[in-house]
Amino acid sequence: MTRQTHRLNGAGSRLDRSKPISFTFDGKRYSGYEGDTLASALLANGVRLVARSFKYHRPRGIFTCDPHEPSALVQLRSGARQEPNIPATMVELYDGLEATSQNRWPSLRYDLLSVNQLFSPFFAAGFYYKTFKWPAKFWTNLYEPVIRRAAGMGRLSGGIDPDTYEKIHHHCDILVIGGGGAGISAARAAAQSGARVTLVEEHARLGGFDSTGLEQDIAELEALENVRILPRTMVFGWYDNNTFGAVEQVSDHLPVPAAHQPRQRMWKIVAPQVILATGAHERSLVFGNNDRPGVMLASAAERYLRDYGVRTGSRAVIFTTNDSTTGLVKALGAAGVTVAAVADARNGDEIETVHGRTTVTGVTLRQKDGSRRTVDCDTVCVSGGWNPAVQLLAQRGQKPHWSENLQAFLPQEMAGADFLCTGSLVGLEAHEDCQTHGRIAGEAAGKRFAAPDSASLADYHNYLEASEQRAAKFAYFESSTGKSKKFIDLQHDVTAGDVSLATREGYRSVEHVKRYTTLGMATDQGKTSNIHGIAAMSKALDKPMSQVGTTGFRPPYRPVSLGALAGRSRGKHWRPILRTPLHGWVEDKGGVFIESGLWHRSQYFPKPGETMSQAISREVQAVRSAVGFCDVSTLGKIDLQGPDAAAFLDRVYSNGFAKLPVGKSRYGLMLREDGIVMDDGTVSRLAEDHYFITTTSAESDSVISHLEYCHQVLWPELDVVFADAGEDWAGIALAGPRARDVLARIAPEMDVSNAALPFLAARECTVLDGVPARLFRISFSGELAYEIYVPSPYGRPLAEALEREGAEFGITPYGVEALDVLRIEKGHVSSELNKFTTAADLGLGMLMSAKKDFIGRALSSRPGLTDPDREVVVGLKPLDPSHSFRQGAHITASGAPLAPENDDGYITSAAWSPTMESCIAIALVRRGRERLGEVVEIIDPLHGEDPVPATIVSHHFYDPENTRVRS
Amino acid sequence: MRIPCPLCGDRPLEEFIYRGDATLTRPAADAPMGAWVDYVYLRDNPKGPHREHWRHAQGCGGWLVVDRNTVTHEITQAIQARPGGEVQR
Repeated sequence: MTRQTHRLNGAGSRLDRSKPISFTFDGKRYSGYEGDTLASALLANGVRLVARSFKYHRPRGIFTCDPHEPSALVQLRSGARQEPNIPATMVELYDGLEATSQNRWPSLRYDLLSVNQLFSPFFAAGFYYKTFKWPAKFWTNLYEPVIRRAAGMGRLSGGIDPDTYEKIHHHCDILVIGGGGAGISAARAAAQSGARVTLVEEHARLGGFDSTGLEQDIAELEALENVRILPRTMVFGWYDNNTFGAVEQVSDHLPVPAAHQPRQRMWKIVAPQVILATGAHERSLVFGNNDRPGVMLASAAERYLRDYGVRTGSRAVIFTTNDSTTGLVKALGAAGVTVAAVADARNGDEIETVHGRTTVTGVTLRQKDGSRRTVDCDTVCVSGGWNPAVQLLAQRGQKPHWSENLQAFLPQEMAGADFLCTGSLVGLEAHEDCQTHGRIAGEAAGKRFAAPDSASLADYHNYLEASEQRAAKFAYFESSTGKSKKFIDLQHDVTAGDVSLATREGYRSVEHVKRYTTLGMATDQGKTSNIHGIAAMSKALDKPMSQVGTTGFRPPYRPVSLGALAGRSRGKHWRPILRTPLHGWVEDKGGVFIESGLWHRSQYFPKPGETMSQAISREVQAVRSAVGFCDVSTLGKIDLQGPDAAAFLDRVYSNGFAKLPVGKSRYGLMLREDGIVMDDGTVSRLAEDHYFITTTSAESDSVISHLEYCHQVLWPELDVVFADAGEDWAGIALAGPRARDVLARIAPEMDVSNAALPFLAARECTVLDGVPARLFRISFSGELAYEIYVPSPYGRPLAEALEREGAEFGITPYGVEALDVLRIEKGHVSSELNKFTTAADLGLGMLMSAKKDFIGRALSSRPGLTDPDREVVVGLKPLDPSHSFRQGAHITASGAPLAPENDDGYITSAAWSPTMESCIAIALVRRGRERLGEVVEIIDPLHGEDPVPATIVSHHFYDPENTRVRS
Repeated sequence: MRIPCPLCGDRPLEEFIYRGDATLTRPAADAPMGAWVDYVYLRDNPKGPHREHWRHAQGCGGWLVVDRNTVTHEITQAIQARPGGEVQR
């Protein structure tokens, strides 16, 4: 373990020196203290080179003390928890932390790909667009893999994330974003109104850049009962109606999350009032080799000294445009660091270039008179002023405006009906200013809470205007001379030369230059660099900063892990599972489930040793020859009542219902207003003003929504009520020549004879000694069949009773596969209702009533839907019964070349029919009904199948006379 | 976005489904084909105030008439679509 060579004795307000911590970087063991970040601990150990840059593989060090660090990105942890591209500055140190450098080979110090620098003329702005234009196929095979390997970041483990993530909704009266001096004052003042205040802070603790002197305020704020503080929480997005997205890093500072704790928690916060105190980001300056390890933001150097007791070197040069570095000069002196020179741009001094290969060894200073001198140093502290963190406001569509006095982009609107801004976000600098204005903002928010629209913002605005008028910041961004590379965007390796080249090539808009050069498009979104790109454009185009403007900002403010966005919705929790009342029974029977929408439906019931197709054929044969039963609980069910119920049905179904007698069921076809079929099902009239409707399983929700629209919006005058009864009833189809015998056993008090209970009869009755039931003699299989509905809890007892009572008749449970084979044999449409077909296409044109208006009537007569060339439902049978085809296969006329214009349709349903002893299919075929008997070719090139000759036949393969259902 | 459902109160966007223009009237049964085509297909795409139908699908199930600014997403009114639904909160 190495010694912490750069740690100062005693200093470091955030450290707990009684708790040493051991960690590794690139496999080497180091030590730090509790309270350190990975960055501060690396610096304390004298580690300066921590990364290689994205494009040129240049050596990079630690540049900031904040999460928007552009350079020091590392790969954190190992195994399934490995996470790439994490700024070392935001990683709180924990014992056993493992970090590795990324984007280097074979090692950080000797990175062979740093030869990329030698080819930098090729990597200039827009090099992708220029170099890899053609041939197009080279992109996926050659260019992209090579570029990805060379210009990479870290790597994911590829393993499954072992941690959990949570989501939480939070409502408060006033949300304060940012826990620096201004945010603390604002929250305290706002809380005095009695409002529920939530303060969100990105860092682990409150206090902002310098918490010195704020200890008392923080303690008092924490003691307030109506204030909730969320540390380690980053607001990444501001959405409509003051809805905010935030991520809390619950456990990222721990080796592994504590038991029952998530790694991160996604907060969705709704607050009628928000105070933005998001602060400001210190900006760098543009000069030669300004990316060398050892070049660092001045405020970062100051914070490493004060908060972490780390001096980053022993000889420092300061390069500044403003007064914020005066404290640093004193602090460096106190820490024993020699300040070798201060280059103050206001005096005409500047750093021309930095010397050293993997670390700073000196600088060339250029003085006002043009003279140069070289100064030895190991640290360069840079301050180019401050950029207010306007990103959240810009997400709301604000275009930040340029303040000449402050030399910064400020919020366009400092206040709105539902938000206020304070602190360095609005250009304030001094602690006292931030705290005073924070208090004013907090009081205003409190007044708005107590009485909306009551608060005067005169003090609020006057304070800001006076402050801006007093300011006289010096305009300086880039050193005027020097030949070395001058970096603007450290993370994407975009230089001043790239921006200049882009403007010479004709790019004028800041948005275009951004995309052409990739400036500001890295994970830090250019928080330290965008301004310099704008300044370079301003210079090159000779346009003021205000006219160049900023690029837009979109969420997230900072990268958000996909895990946090997914929350608990992963794996089997990705979406809910719907189980029917018979689910447990099916499990006990050894039934196999298939996912169908959200439902888990019984697919088939294999016997020992049976294959799937054997089981399906056995189930089908049982229904055809004896009796079977099938869970149909997934069908949508609607209970409709009211004096106008018949009129309502007449308007929503294409066929008529006014004359449906009580005690009868009828098939119903529902269209969309554009004439396309929406759904089908059955309608049963239980009483004069009482109907029971079934819909398909897939469309049950949309049908309910549609009927609600019809009722609430189109025809509110109709006196009907209806309820979604889908979950109330378990449904079982009982089908087969012996179905009546089984029904007689479970409903012994009912006359089940063909005369008393004919085809399409509908009854309310009791089964199983008193269980209320709804019984409909309807058939999907083509056999004598009943649908029996009982209250959901009785679903399983009914299944058990059917199995028991039907045993002597050979009863067999069947799943949706057999159900599908049976309906294809019978020629009932199902998957043919594919949102492209009309009633006529489906062979159901007779269900289009001419006697009434109904949804879809008018537009179903338009030419496109009545074209005789349309594809219509027919059946297909292969000439050779041993041939088979699949759903999705296409149809061409026999001998027609394989070309799109010869496409005559496609197969919508296909199955092996044990009854026909052949593969059969239902298909949509152009002019199909005129082509019965024609031999066509079934083509399925996607599956690599040879064309199969087949005959077009009626899709009513089984019992076309429909005698069995009536028997 | 949040929609003030007149029955359920201020609720988040995810609970609602969108339908579109609420100012259209379903043509009479004998209306010419052109009227039907306009009703089903022809829509303006206004920038600014828009009166539209939303359903509180994950709440009361009610169809609402919502006055929304398509630029700012400001909602100035949300009432039930059915007559007598002008209950406002």
